Amino acid sequence: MMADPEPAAAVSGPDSRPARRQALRALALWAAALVLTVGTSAWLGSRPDGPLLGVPRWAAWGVLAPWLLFFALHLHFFLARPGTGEGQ
Amino acid sequence: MYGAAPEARAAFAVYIALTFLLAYLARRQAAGGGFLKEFFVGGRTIGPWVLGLTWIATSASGGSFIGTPSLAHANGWSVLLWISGYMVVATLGFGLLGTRIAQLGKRTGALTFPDLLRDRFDSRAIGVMSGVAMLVLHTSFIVAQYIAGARVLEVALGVPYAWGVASFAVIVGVYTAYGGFRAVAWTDSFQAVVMLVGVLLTAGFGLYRAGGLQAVHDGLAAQSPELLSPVGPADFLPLPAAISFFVIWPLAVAGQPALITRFLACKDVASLRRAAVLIGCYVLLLYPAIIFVGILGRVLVPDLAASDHAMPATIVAAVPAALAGLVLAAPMAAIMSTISSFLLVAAGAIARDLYQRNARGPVSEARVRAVTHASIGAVGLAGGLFALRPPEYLQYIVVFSGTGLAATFLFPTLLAVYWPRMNRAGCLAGICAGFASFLVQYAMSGTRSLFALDPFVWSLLASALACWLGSLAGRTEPRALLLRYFAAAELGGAADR
Repeated sequence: MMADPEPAAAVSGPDSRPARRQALRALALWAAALVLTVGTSAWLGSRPDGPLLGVPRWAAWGVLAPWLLFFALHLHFFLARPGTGEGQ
Repeated sequence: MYGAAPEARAAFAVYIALTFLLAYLARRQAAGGGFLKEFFVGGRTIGPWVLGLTWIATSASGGSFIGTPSLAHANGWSVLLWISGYMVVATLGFGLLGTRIAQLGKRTGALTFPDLLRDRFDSRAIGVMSGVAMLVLHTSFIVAQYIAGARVLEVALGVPYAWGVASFAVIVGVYTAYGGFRAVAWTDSFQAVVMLVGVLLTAGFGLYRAGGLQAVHDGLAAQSPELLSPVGPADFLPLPAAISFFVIWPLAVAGQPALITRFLACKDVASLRRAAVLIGCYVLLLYPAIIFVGILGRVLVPDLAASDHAMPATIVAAVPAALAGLVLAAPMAAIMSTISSFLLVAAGAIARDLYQRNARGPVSEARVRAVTHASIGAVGLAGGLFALRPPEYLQYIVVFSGTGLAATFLFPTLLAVYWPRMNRAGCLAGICAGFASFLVQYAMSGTRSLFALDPFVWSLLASALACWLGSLAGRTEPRALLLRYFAAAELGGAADR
């Protein structure tokens, strides 16, 4: 027994390719964030330095700054991409 | 215990009353169209604000509000790196599956997460197996939330631990059973606002009490310089663990069935995109502030009666008495919103996926309603009983349950919705490999598996490999079935004709 679909039956199903491209872009952003954040934190954390405004330098440049950068990219990602069209 | 103010009781009472009022109003807004569609996906009419806030309120649990500050209290700034994967959690959570699941929910009529997988492969076994796995792992997640909630009541109101667990089970169970998804989404939205305001107020007042950021830095340095390092005390976060957790948080959230179910309920893709933007802003404000509250707690309240008291004890120490009650509602809100969502998913697994869709004949709506309500009661009771013996660190149950769910379901779901060649053998193999390898690694090596990486990382890879090999070994699904999910142009030679 299938779940009850919406009334609009179609011969061909929804195109998954636009959503797949979006998913691959999201994965690429995640991978870039991983390398930048963990890499910078490990690098700066291994050479102790004074704090930046009371925050350890590795945390400021390794985590908080990338967080702001990827927030901006997140906004661009969801505000700039067109809808996937079919079935919406 | 930490000198909680008497005003806290009144503030809690107001908070609970508002939650019930919202549940009542939400039920009055029911869109009709049948009990199941209304109860499990709110009639698929949820707009961007409620969608975004219910998504984040479900994601931010007692783990985020009680467990994470406790780890920050114990391990200092290293916990900021530990949780830094949250910087892309909204990008990945919405970008990976959101659009596609919303599209398929409308097209196929799926009401629950197992519905999606079961119908994609026309397999009762997949529906039952995913229903059982979800029931087990969600119940353990609910246990963690009861523990967190009882800890808050213990500190804030002096309520004995066991009574705190019982209170949570009854309060959340009642409004979830009463209003279903719409009530849960509306109360989640209210709770998400309470959470953010509460954490920001605590961070602000705490910073003022501590004497500024430099004073916090000096206070931590005086206790232990390791509290300022990215590794933390006692080798808390070596490099492989930092990499593991950056993999864990975004992918565990993206593969969380309770969150995927949110996409089934959204009105349209435009709402989904607006919700994603809202959540990006919310996460940016919330998570660094949560860590900061734990760090402040280390300076303001260095000695705790129980490690999971860090957040409520910091609130009591930092926030003026008149506001403390309201701010203490923030962790309550995080906990209640997660319990309600997980109760709904667990009840759906029983009523819809294990009972209704396996019944020999048609099942009346009244019967499904009764089973749903009974399931909410049974899961709530079971969770409450398990919560009576809490572990030392709550966050470990949260990480276990959350990563277990994602290790089991992320790749089977991803490939099911994006890869036409994926078949039922691949899906079953992926679910089994992810779940089994996760349990075996945890049992054999705890949280540090091969190359000191978390078991989640290897379980994800095992699940992906099993999906791929199983799909290559099995038969392609019939073309008529695939045409419900993919455009004809995508299928090519991938389907039997």
